Amino acid sequence: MKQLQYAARRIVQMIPVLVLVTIVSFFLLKLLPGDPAAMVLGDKASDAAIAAFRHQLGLDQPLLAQYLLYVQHLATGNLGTSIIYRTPVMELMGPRAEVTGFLVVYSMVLGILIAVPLAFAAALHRDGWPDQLVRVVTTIPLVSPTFWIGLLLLLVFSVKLHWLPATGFGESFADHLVHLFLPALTLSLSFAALLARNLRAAILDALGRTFVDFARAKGLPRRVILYRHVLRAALVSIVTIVGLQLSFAIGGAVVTETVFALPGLGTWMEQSIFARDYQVVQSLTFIFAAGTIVINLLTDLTYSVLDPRVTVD
Amino acid sequence: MRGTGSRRVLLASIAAVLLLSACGGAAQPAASTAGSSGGKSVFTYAVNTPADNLDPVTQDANADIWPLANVYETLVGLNQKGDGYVPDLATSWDTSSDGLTWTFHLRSGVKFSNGQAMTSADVVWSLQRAHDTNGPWQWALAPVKSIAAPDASTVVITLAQPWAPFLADVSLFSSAIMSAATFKSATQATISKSPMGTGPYYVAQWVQGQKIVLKANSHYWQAGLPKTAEVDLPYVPDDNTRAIQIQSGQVDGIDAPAFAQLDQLRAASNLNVLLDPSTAVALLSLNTKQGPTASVQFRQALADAIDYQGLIKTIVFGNAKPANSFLPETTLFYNASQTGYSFDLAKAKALFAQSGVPAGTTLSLLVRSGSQVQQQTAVELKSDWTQLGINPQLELLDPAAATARYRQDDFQVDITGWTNDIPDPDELTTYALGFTQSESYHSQYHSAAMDALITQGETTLDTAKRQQIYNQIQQMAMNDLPIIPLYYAPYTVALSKKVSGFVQMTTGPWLFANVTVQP
Repeated sequence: MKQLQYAARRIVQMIPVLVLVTIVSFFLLKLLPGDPAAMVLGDKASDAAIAAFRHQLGLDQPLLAQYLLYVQHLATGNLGTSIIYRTPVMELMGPRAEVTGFLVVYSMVLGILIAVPLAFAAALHRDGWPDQLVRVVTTIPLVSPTFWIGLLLLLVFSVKLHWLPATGFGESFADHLVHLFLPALTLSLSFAALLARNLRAAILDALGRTFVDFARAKGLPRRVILYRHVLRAALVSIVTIVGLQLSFAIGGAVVTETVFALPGLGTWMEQSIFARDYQVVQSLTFIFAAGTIVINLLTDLTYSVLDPRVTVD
Repeated sequence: MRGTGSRRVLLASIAAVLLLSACGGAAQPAASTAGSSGGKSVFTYAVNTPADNLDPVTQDANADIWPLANVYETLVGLNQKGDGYVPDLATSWDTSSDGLTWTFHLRSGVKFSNGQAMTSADVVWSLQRAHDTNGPWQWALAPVKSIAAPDASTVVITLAQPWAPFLADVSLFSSAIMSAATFKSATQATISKSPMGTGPYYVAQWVQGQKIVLKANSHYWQAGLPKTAEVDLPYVPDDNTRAIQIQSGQVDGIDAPAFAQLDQLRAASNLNVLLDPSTAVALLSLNTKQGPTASVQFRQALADAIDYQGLIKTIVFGNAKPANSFLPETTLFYNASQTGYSFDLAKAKALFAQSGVPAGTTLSLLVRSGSQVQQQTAVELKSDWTQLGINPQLELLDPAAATARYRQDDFQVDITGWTNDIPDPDELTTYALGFTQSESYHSQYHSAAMDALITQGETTLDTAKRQQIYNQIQQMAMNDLPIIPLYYAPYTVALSKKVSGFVQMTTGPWLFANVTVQP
């Protein structure tokens, strides 16, 4: 019950933050020079044609009136209509959110699958060669730009070896797994490196705790000690990084989606900013912000589940 | 364990949220750029700009025009070289001796892709709409006084005055023949999103910002065409990604590979790199009303201080010729013997001294971010012009911000370019030097003598006389220099060696009707 109350309070606290997000995204965008009507109609359009189109879009209204209309629409779940695509934002969002969601979750799963064994190998052979190797190897993705890793993977696995498709999303679930393997791997590597390093430290920390000594003294098998006690104690560190990384992954997805020509939210955001597609940029900013807040909340709630000593009030 | 139940619920709800975000609530399957695995029946060609309006009359971008050439047709077509006209939906045409009345005899047996027969009523409706619709191509049919259909297979167009570029204007995509029955009462949104014409292909699917899928029009009037059942045009903006797609065999062709990548693509044994003759001109537009560029000697000094060969070497890796005229080489009445500017620093310095512009003057160059070519051009120009004793500054803006500045004439030097849509010089001449359409590329150049020559060029029917007029125009443009033509670069295309029959017109459109892909 305490957790539910806590969650309810945090959700109420979200409201002012989200209002602030709408204000900042709306006015910042309008401060940028550039006009979506001029972008849509092109260099050859007359000033009269552009003025008429601006009127049709309501862009000639006072800023405050435009903002209030936007908030009013948002409150009723109406995200408006894309200026470039002349289609409701909601309709355009579905297929793109599917791509980005799949990519982000896939990269998290890959990252965990890569990081956990590495962290255990390093921690259990502290200062031995596996530990040294993991520590060196994990610095590489941390210092390499995402687009570069992506291009490198493409050159090796698509161009040279022809093992995996270079781009696209595929049609079925299995197809998605194949098509998104390289982009998810690209996105997961820096996450995996960060996670492996933190998890290694957390495992070492747990291994030195008295409850592990106690478990050993009780004669519990090593596997049970590692998975039931050590890993559980280290889980808090995984959750923290997963939570942080989920927010970063949305940003990282912009770069990764561009390199792999994926029709996701990231590439859409980029195109929309360049085209000054106000409705789309505002909607996506709002959704990303709300998503980040929700992820942070879930992260905090998860702590108390994993570690009863963490209280939520 | 204590409280396990509630924890399970919480964990399950976290998982549910993650799953939800993964599914995005979407039922419809997302796009894929694949499809070449089976070969033969699909030709996949990755393009670098997305279409955003498929109405031939109101669109304004090559990304719309170039695929549309496979969907819509005009009464009169262009030959592939782009210097003459061929019958298309009209098999022949006659003109009265005063040049005012044009009679077009329509091809029989032409059907739209929905199977409905094309008649003179469709032609009248389409041309009338193009004539009446306020848009970027309205100039094309501006001299038309009336359009009539005496019978089902004849169309008579009367002009208000003799008009030399008239056939060119009828061949322009905005004069495409659309079905009156389908579009007469359609909204603009429908016309923009659901094109339907007499061409070899129809648009089977268009996912905006992602891809266009063209499928063969089974009613097409040319027997045996198109040769490939489906053409997919995925939008892949990143140059590196397109290059990787073709090298990995995921697509059969890519549009506009970067010049920097051509050698790498040529080295691949399974690829052909095409450099198609184009109507592309790289240009600088100079503000003739404000700042140092208001001085004509200063503008000429800038033109003489550019190392054109160096520019071509750096930017297009030698794959271009220096421009000696604002007109592309492939345009009618282009004057090959027009003297262009060439790198001559001594002459440039002398002109600069005459111009009265003080040494050390700051000159700002408008540069659009995201365009490698523009950024490299700006850097080259800066180093060239620094030698002149001025202080060139690069203003890097994103395209929307740069467009706003350009439209407000708020720039000194803008890096820009052109591709023709018709082979006649009238379109570009009017746009670049005639003020009314674009304030002469927003240079604000406005000359009564130039305007008079442009009108003469439009209304003189004699070809030899027109050549003289356009020679004069090209000469005057190079003297007054509101725009500095830099170089003529070809279109770049990379295709798998299994592809044959691909055609790109000098005006840009891709023609897919004859494309075949070996399995």
